[in-house]
Amino acid sequence: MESLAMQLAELIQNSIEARASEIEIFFNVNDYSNTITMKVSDNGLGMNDDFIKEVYNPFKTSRKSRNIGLGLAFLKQEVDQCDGKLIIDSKVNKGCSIEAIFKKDHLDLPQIGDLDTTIMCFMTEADRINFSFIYQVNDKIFIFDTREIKKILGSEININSNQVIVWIKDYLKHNMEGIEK
Amino acid sequence: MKSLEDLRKLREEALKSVDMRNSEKDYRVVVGMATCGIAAGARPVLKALVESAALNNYSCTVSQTGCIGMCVYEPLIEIFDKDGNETTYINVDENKAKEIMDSHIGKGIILEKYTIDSIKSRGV
Repeated sequence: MESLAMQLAELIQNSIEARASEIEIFFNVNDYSNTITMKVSDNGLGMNDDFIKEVYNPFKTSRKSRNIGLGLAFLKQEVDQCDGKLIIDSKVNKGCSIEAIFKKDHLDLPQIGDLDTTIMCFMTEADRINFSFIYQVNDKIFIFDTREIKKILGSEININSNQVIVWIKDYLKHNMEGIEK
Repeated sequence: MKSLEDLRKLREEALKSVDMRNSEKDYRVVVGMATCGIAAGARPVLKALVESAALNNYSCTVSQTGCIGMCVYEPLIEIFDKDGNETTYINVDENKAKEIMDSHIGKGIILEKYTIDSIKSRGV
């Protein structure tokens, strides 16, 4: 995959296909520990232990039981290339949490890419799924939560109306650039 | 348009207009966002669709789905009208996405040259 933002989109899509109603996205860039950490947690269908054992094997994946596809196999490969770590924690019917830790200055690390576009794309589903996005650069943190947005919008305006999604994109970009400085 | 205060303003404006209220929209635009779609560039396409719809006040919702099963044609979008008629556009990029929105959603004219049927009829 071209960028970490694409990998992140992949993880979020997995959560949606696991019928999650709550998805928490965490992205952390840390110069002190020389790491980039990306974590997606959901309350979806989850995976059983047998499935987790096979989860990196793209050819063993059963699309019918859990639509995970090639995504995790790609992610695992990339994590391994960058001397990173991939931590999967999941229980059937409880949810799933996937954390990828990359070595920040590794030569093979893909670029971070367009994180705000990734989050924006999933806002089309924010009427039925609550998303929180925590973006941290060293000691600065930005927290975005669709519940807060919905509260402001009230019942008359849908969070996934096109104008609101465009606003969210600008809002994310502005605040993320703010803490990157 | 960057602060929560701006969102409140956006809401006030929207309440005055009919378009943004929770009414039934004329079209539903669906983007494939599985591994195949994402890798082929579905994110910028979805962004272009939403931005075009917001800018022009088009009566449509944009949403996403998993793998549509035609990975080779990704990025792929499906447009459903109110009667459930479906049009599939293939190998969409940001520019095609805007063209499709202006023609299909804006004017109600299907942009044949980008549909899956255009490929079939050419026998490719």
